[in-house]
Order: sequence, then C-alpha cells, then structure tokens
Amino acid sequence: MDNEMYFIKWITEAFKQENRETALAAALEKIKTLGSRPEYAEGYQQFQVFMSLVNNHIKKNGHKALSENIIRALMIELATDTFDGDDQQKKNMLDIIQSNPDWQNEYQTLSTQIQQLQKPFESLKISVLRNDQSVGTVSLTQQDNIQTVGHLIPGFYKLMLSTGRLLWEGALDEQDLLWAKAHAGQPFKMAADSGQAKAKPVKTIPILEGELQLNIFAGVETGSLEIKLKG
Amino acid sequence: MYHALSLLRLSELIAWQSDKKALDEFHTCRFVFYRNGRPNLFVDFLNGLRQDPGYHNPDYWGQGILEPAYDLTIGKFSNLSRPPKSDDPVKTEGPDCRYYFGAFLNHVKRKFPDCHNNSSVKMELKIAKILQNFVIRHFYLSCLECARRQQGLSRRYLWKVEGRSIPVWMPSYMAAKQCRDWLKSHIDNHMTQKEHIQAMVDRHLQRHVVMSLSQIETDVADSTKGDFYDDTETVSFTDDLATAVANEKAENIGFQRPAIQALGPDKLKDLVCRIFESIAGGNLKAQPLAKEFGLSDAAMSRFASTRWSRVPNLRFSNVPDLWSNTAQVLATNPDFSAAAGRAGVLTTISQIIESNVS
Repeated sequence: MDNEMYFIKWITEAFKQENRETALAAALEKIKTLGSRPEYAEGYQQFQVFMSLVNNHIKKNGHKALSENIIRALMIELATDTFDGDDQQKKNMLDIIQSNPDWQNEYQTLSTQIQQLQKPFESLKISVLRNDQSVGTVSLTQQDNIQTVGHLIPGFYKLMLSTGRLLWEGALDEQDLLWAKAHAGQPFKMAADSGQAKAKPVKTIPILEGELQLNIFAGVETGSLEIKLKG
Repeated sequence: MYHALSLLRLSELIAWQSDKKALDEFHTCRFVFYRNGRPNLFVDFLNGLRQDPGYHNPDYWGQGILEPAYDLTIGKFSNLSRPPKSDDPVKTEGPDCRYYFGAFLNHVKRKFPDCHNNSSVKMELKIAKILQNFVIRHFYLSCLECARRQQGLSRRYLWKVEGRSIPVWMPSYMAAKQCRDWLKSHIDNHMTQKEHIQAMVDRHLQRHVVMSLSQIETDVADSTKGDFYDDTETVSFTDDLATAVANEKAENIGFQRPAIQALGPDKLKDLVCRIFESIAGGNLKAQPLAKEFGLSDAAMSRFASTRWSRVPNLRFSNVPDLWSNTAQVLATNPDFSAAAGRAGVLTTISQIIESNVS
C-alpha cells in the first residue's frame, strides 16, 4: 500500500489517544498538510470523498447533538467576545441563536454573567509598596487622573499595577522625601490641606514612555508621591 | 526582569519561546482575573468558576463535568510540552498552553490592529479583560468537551420494536444483541414514550449519562430512510475505530455481499481488524489477505480496495463497503464530528447549523 488510505491511519491512531478531540484535530490537520504533497494527492482526493460521505451521514441523521454542541460553543465565543468571525458572520450567528427561545435565554444568561465579571476592569489601580509592604493604593480614571500617597519615609519603593505587573521600582531617600535635605536653606511653604510642600517635585519620573508620571515631593518629616495618568 | 513585563509580552514569551519563567510569572504573580470584585490568579479564578460556574445548564453539566473541565482548562493554560517534530505521530500528552496563548495573541492582534503601544497600562487592562474572557471561554468549552466524553460512556441504540424505531441510550459495555435482549425482557412493547423507556434503562442499568433526553434525536427512524442500513440497529461507538467498524460489520453481516456473509461474523471481525492494522502499519497486501480469508480478488476489492477514486464520474457508490461503513460509524461520533467541523474538512459550521435550523 502506498498513501491512498493514509488518512485512515491518522484517524485510527487519534482514536487511541486519551485526549481524543485534540488528537483528532491534530490528525485532521496532519491529513490536510500531507495532502498538499504530490505523493499524497490521490489519498487526499479519497479523503475528501470519504469526508463528504461522513458529512452526508451526519446530515441524514440530523445530528442534533452536534449542532447543539456547536451552538453552545458559538454562544460562549460570542458572549466572551472571543468570536473570530467578521461582523456579518457575528450577526448571522446571533440571528441563529435568537431564532430559538431556549438558545436565546441561555445566551442572555451567559452574557450577563460574563459582563458582571468584567466590571472591575474599568478602573486603573496602582499599589505603592515600601520594602514590599503596602503603604497605599490609588485608583485612576481619565476624569480623576492624579492621586497622591503621603507620609512616605525613606525606603525601597515599588509601584505595582493591580494585575501584579511592576511599573516602577527604586529607592527614595532623605534627599527625595525630606525638605531639609532636598531644599537645604529654602523656606518651607506648607500647603493648606496636606501639610506637604506642593510647589515643586523633587523628582519627576516618567513611567511607560510617559503614560504615567511619578512626582516625588519632600515634606518636613515625610514626603509624598503623586501619580498622574496622562492623556 | 519578568515582573515588569506586560501581560502581552509574557504571553508572547510563553507562546513563541516556550519560556517557562514567563509561564511561572503568569501563574504566580499576575492577578489579571477578577471575580467578586477581587483580583485573582489564574488558578483561583478558575477554581471560582468550578465552584460556581454561574452559567449552568443542569441538562448539560453537573459536578461530574465541572471537575474534569477544571483539570482540562488548567492544562490548557499550564502544560508546556516539548516542541513537536514534523514527523511526530499524532500522540498528544494533553493540551499545550502555547496554542492557547497563541490564539489569545492572534485575537488581540485582530482586535487592536493599529495599536503600537501594547505595553501601556490602559492596554494592559483591556488585554487582561480579553484573557479573562478567553479563560472563561475555554472553561465552558472544556465543560462541553467533558460532557461529550461522558456521553462516550453511553451508546445510542436504535431499538426496533413493533415496527417502530426508538433511540435509547444504553451502557457502552453492552453489545447490540445484549441491548436488544435486555430491552425485550424489561420493557413492555406497548411502552411508546422514549423518555419512559430511557428512565427504565437508567434506573436498572445505572447508565452514566449527562445528555438530556431532549438531545436524543427524535426522528432517527425517518431520517435514515434510504440508507442501506435501514433495517439494522445502529450504535454510536466508544471503542477504537477498528473495533467499532468490525463490530458494526459483524452485527449487520446479513446486509453484506454474499462473499462477505460467507465469512461469518467472527471471521469478518478478524478481517476488518487485520485491514485496519495493516493500514496503520503501512503494509496492506490485499491479495494475500484475500487468499487467507478465502475471498476472491474482486470480492476483496469491492470490500476494501484502497484505490477507488480514479474512476470517471466518481460517486459515493464507488467507495468500497468497508470505507463507506467507516464513514457512517465516524458520523456517529461527536468528537470526530466536532473536530472535523472545526478543521473545516466536514463543512462549515454555519452550514451545519443552518441545515439543522431550517
């Protein structure tokens, strides 16, 4: 035997695997890939006829379980917004789902559930840590784009996004946080509300190509840190 | 260095460079999933879905599905297998997370084709949201897959009684004859409601089932008209393909050509298994095999020729009996149908759906 029935070999082997669906998917890809080679041309033609036969049997049997499985998978893809088709395909799929009241209800339940899970992603939360201990958290939005964390004493600081990503780390010492060290000889002008000097930051650090700006202010006994979300 | 990498960059390292440290960073330090207002690591988020899937279809999955679905989804985002070689057989050691992270990256690329600053914090949140949706998607898809696997513990048996055909889910360990005998001795012939029959089967045989009765096809008898298996009993299979086809042929030997009928069921089973084994080994020699089983070359050719497409006006009737039956057996297997549908070798998904909706 040459390669005329090569596809049977791959399909049979896939059925022996524990993770059958994954193995079958890999086998079918393999069959398609090999089919493009001249030595497999005849075998691939036979595979296509063979698959037409499979398709005919599925249609003839009105394979309801399959279609329900596919509909459910599509609902999941649409509700999670991970469907890869274009807008027209998406609309067609939604029309099909809405053509059946049970599917429509199921889709609605699923969509609501997923939307609820998504809510907290709307704001940007950043934690400020000193020597790996949290000293404050700020929440930034486009409207409320500047937040301050005060009462900072020298130490090793980190700014962490709520997702766990490190945005910035570095040491802040007395030169950065204490007025007498940062602005030796200059009179201290106290801001009415915070007890911190607001005039001029000791340091300005751009983060992520300037998307965030970190301003360090010195105070009499402690300093503060201002995080600004730009644009 | 990994702590400062964006979620997208971490995913790229995992998918394209099989970077284990990036995968560790993702699993141990990245709270990119939200549940009940709190950031979660992947495993905690998934555990939450397992305990309270929210989207819950009692017909479709229960605890027996959620546990294996949880394990399967963990694997989809954690298993970093060795890189495959081009000549590898299709053996799989479970899912490979590179494919799943790769699919996620492709989706992000399609979603934000013009974005040049994927490391920004605003993008980080958008991307985290997409990843969360991907994980939810794969958890639910795992539920579907596990439901299909559990369905594999049952076989669909078409019970012919009093001129009617009633589809019933039976335990997969029972052969067709055993199914027929059991139903004959336990079910009143006048019982017409398939739901009642199914309930009796489930109660007496403790069949493992996750399929709802509504999923049993209602008109299999009508829909199979015109098939040469019209009057036979059909089953979906859970064994390996060769055994399933061999059993099918042996159980329906009365519908075979005379030369094949003459073999008898046991010899026919043996022949089918031998043909599959030979194909797997790449050494099918039809003539010696025909001689061994006492078949003429012509009978063997009609039964299991390996070259049948080079005829003018090729039609389905040109397909040798064994391969035609193999196609029919495969059509009953949901794993195969789903994989073929997704691989685009069957027909497009929408075509299947449309044909079922209309």
